Parts: sequence; structure tokens; C-alpha cells
Amino acid sequence: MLELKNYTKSYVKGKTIVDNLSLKVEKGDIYAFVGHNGAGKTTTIKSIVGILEFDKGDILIDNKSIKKNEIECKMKMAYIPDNPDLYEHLKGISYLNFIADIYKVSKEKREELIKKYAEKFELTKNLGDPISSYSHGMKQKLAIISALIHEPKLLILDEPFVGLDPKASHTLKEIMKEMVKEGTAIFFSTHVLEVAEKLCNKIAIIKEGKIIVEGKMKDIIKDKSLEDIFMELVDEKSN
Amino acid sequence: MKSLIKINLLLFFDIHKLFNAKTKEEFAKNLIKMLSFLACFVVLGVSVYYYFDFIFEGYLTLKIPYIILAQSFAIVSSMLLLTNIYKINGLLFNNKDYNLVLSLPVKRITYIISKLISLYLSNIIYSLLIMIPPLILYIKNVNVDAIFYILYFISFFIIPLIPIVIATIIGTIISSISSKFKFKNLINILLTIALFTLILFISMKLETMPKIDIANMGKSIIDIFNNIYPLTNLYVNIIKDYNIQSLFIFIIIPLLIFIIYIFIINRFYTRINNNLEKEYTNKKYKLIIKKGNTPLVALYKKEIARYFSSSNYVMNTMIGSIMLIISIIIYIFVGKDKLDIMLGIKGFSQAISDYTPIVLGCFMLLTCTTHPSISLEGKQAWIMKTIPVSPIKIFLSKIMVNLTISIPFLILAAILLKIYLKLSINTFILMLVIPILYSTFISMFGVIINMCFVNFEWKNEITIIKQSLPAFISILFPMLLAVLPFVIEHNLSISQLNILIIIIAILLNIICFIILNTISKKQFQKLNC
Repeated sequence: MLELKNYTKSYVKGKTIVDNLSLKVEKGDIYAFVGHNGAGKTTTIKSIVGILEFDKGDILIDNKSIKKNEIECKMKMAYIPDNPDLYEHLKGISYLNFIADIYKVSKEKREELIKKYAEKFELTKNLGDPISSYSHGMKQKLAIISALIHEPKLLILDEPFVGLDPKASHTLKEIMKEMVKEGTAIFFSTHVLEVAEKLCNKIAIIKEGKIIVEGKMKDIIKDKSLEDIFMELVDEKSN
Repeated sequence: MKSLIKINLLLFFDIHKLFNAKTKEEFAKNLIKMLSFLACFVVLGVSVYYYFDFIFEGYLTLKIPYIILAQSFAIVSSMLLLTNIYKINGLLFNNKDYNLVLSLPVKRITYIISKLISLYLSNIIYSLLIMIPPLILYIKNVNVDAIFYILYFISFFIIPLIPIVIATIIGTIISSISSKFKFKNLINILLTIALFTLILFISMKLETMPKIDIANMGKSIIDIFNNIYPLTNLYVNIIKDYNIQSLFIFIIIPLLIFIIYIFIINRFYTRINNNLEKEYTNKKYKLIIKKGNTPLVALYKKEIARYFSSSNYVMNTMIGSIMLIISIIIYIFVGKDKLDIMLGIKGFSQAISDYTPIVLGCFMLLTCTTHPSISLEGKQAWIMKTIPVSPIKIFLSKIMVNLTISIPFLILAAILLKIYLKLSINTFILMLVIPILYSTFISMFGVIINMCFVNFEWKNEITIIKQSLPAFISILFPMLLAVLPFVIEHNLSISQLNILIIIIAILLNIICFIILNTISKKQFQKLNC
């Protein structure tokens, strides 16, 4: 569903942020993307979703290059950034309708999905309020709902659990499990290694723009914890 | 206090970006931006010089050269008064840095004074632009004493104080009234427009407009300017008659009102600001899903909502459309002769009736909602970059807002003029075709310029709407288009001129559309947010 082939990105000539990164996310995968601050996670994610251009390699969404088929690729995926800056002047419901209009979601479908996810995240009664009145967590919930209402085949999340209350965090994890059962692929960055370990079937650890380990979670951690593996790998590479 | 003013000014001029540039490319880009800013400022100054030079000859012939100084004083004071009124909400109130600054060990009164001093300094810069060119003309043609320079420069630094005092008081009243309503921005916009209209009508004093006394032309003209801005007589006493008593009144009164105002506002500031920040929520909300829209309509509706959510955005960009209607009403009620004198251009009103389509087009050039529209996406720019919509559709939705804001006013203006001037149906059609072409051009031009100088890192939207390089360029370049017909008209009949203007406007539209589809599209794809 998502394939990065020798993806390379630099902001300034000669200073590479992400170097020759390749990975593959299949349908039904929950793929964790783990690394230090500044390792290149957000840069990679921003390129996948079309915010940033890149220098070398290619990014394929459902076997189509985002460079050549930008709109078609974007139609199949949804993105939730680490900081949910949404249109403050709109009401919650207007924002959801805006996103549903953009992704051409039918009236019946949007009604069903907005009701379903707004209730799950306990946001229904706030949908008539301006987004400017929302707390950080409420904005995060709205961003998540907006990403789900067009039933994406690929869900890209950057630190999705930051700012969510424990109940909403749990709800999101349940929704993610539900979605992958139906064939959606999920790729997300996180610093919370416990969540990655429990939730994901695949993982890539990135350090200074290069993948240091990538593969199935159970093959990588074996009988250890992800935290131990992460610390070992990061220290090993530093030495 | 010093630090607050310094930060405000650094943000105003974006100087910090030059010194904080991380790479040579970034430094060069910021330097080009600042130099372009300076170039725009110089070109505007030169344009102002030529405007005054054009009318100064008449004053010299009539031996009333000092009128040029009175006129520039009346223009700059009225301009500062009107613009400061809508700047107050956003600068003094509802400013995003309020909570942050007040959480630091800073007194509320220090915060208020720092904002007003920053406003004063920015006013001084705009005053330089309008006051210096006529001063140069005056001293080139009139022998003046040293006392003139002393009085001129003392009064120069006092000039912005009076509009600031009046505007802050009016702006505070408008902000405090609108803060009590659910739709604060809408009330703010409506009150400001109503006030603008009222000020203009009072200053015109339609019934009691002074009659022109040929024998005493100087006094008659000053009386007209005094009607527009009531302190003009006092100012003339200072710079023409060197009247120290007038200077004393000129300095003391605004300072006194200013000090009293600061102490009063300090008491009510928190309450007004909290009311303005308060969001009304719907406790009985029931989820109802309406029928969907096409992506373009959805984008357009989002843009319209964004536009009307900001009184600063509306008041700064709708000015052309509002001015158009007010000007036509003044044109109809004041009469042609007095309008010529007020503008200082003989035969101006006749030219308006001869060139109505082009004149209406010039007003359309003043309405540009698109030059800040991309930058205003700010921190939300990631949304437009990730949704499955082509850049062209995004540009188009922003262009459609501009057309929505200008075309209804244009149609109303065209109907009023057709009735008043008893124009033919052909002229009426031209009055719609030429301005619409101008309007589509300026809409696309605004997007193109904004794409060249996008800034998502603003703290206060007024810096993007009013003080950015795209804002200056979108005034300057269309000015050339506005002047063009009057430069080439000598050899052509009015109908030939209209055809030529239509051809030029169509060509400009085509060029802009091609640029949007190629260069701007690529720039959009390269945007980092």
C-alpha cells in the first residue's frame, strides 16, 4: 500500500536529512516509525503526504508514484499531523463537511461515519462550536475524525497519541485495529515505545536519517522489550 | 517597555529574519524581499511626488503654494485616522501575544503603551511617504526661514498623535460594543463601515459645503480641507503664519487626551479583551448533516468564511469596493466643481464621466483579497497541501472570493452612474466588462505575488494583510495599469481607447492564468509548511 524506494531528502545542499530510505507497508499492517527527535520521521511523513518534495527515490501509494499521480494518491490516504492546527474560523461540523466534500463522501456515508466517530470520541455535542473554542485534545479528536470519515486505504499519523486523554487514546487504538482488519494500512511515528510494541506488527527504527533496523516486530524484539532493543541499537550505532 | 517596542518593530519590518537566516540562500531571499520592500516604498514616494507636482503648479499660479502642505496634512491625517480605527482591533485588542506577554512580569499599562507607540512609529513611516514629497516641492519653490523647518518638523511628529488618539477611542468603543455580541467580527465590520460613511458625510457637510470665493481662493480651499479634517486651519496657522500659540494647542491637546485615554483604557482593558476572546458555544447542538458540495464550492465556502472571520482582512481589502460606492454617492451629491478642488485636479469630474468604465476598473484594482490569501493559511497550510485538490482549484477558490467581494458593488455602481449620467447601454456594458476584466486580473495577480513571497510564520495577520511585500506590490503594479489609459489616450478616441484597454486587460488575464498554471503551481508544490 505504501512503498518508499531509496527516498532521500535534504533541505540544504550537502546536508541530507533522510538518506536512501526504503520500506514497505502492506495492507493490514500497523507500521511504527520510531526514532530520536530530529531523526527524520516528520520529514519522511511530510513527503509521503505531499507536503514536502524530495530529492531522490520515489514514494508509491497503492503502486502509484506520488510525484506523478499526486491527486489520486492523496485521495487514498489520510494524514493526522503532530500538531492539529485546523481552520479556527469554522465550526467542528463545518470542518468535517469540508473534508467530506473534498473527498466526495456521499451524504449517507458522511452522516453514518461522522455520527459513529464523533460518538466514539465524545465530540458530538461540540461539533456546533467554533474550532477556536476547542482544547488541544478536542482539535486532535476532530483531526482524527476528519481523517476517518473518507475511509482511507492508508492512514499516516505523526505522534497521534500526544494530547489525547487516556480514553481517546484507547478508542484510537481500537479503531486502528478495526481498520487494519478491513485492509487499511497504517503508518505512524511515535515516541511511546510501549504503544508501538503492543499495537504494531512492523517497525522501522530511524537514526540520523537512516534506517537502522526494519521488519516484523516479533522478529526484531524476540523475547526482549522494544525499549531494550531501541536503546541497544541506538547506543550500538553511536559507538 | 523598550523590549516590547523593539519586538513589535522587528516583527513589523521582518528584520529579524535577515539576521536569523540559517543559510546564504535564505539570507539572500530575505535581503531581496527587504530591498523590494524599500523599492516599493521609493516608487510610492515618487508617485506621491508626481501627484503633488501635478497640482502644485496651479497653487503657484494662484500664489497659494502653502495649500500643498495643508492638503498633504489633511490627506495624511484622514488616512491615518481611518486606517487606525480598524487597526485597533487586532493590535491593541485581540492580539495573539497578549496572554504570553501578560504572563511575564509586565504591567498591563506597559503592554498598552508599547502597542500604541509601535502604532505611532508605523504611522510616522506612512506620514513620511505623503508629507515629504510636497515638502520638497514647497521648499524648492518658496523661500522659507529656519523657523519654518523647526515648526514643520515639530508638528510632523505630532501629526500621527491626533489620528491615533481619535482612532483608539473610536476603535475601543467599536471593540467594546462588538465584544458583547455573538458575531463579534461581523458587528465590528458593520460598525466600522457605518462609521466610515458617517465620517465622510460629516466631513463633506453636504449642505454647508463652503462656497468658492475666487478673490480669496486660498482661504476657501483651506476651508474645504478643514471640513475634511477639522485641524487643517490650525496646522496652516503653524506652518504659514508661524503661530506658536497654535503649535502649543496642537501639541498639548492630543497629548493630554492621550494620557487620560491610557489611564481609562487600563481600567477596562482586561474586560474588553476577555469579552473579545470569549467564544460562544451551542449547548443544545444537534447533529444534522446537510447535502454535500463539490470540492471547489467547499473550498470557496471555506475561503468566504475565513474572509469574514477577520475584520482586519475585510476592512483592508474591501476598501476599494466601499470607496467606490461612497465616491459615487459623493460624486452625485457634492457636485463636480467641488470634487475637482478637493482632489486638486481640474476637470477630474468631467474625466470621470468620459471614462466611467476605466474609472470603475481602477476601483476594482483597489480590491485585492488574494495577495495575503495563501500566507493567511498560516499553520493550517498543511491542510491545503495534503487534500486531493489541484493547486489551481485552491487558487480559483481564493480568486472567487475577490470577485464575490467586488462584482456586486460594481453592478450597483454601474447602475447608479448609468442613471445619474444618463449613459448609453453600450457604455453600461463597458462599465461591467472592463472592471470585471480588471478584477479577474488583480485577483490572479494577488495569488501570483503571494506565491512568490509566501510567509506562513506570521504572529499577527495584519502584518500579512497590510504590511507585507505582496500588499505593497499589489497596490503598486495595478497603479501602472490604472494610469496606462490616461498615458495613451492622447492619440485615440474614447471608443478606440476602450477597445485597446479591453485587449490589454484580456492579455494580462491570459498571462496571469498561464503563470498561475505553471510557475505558481510549481511554487505551491515546493511550499514547505
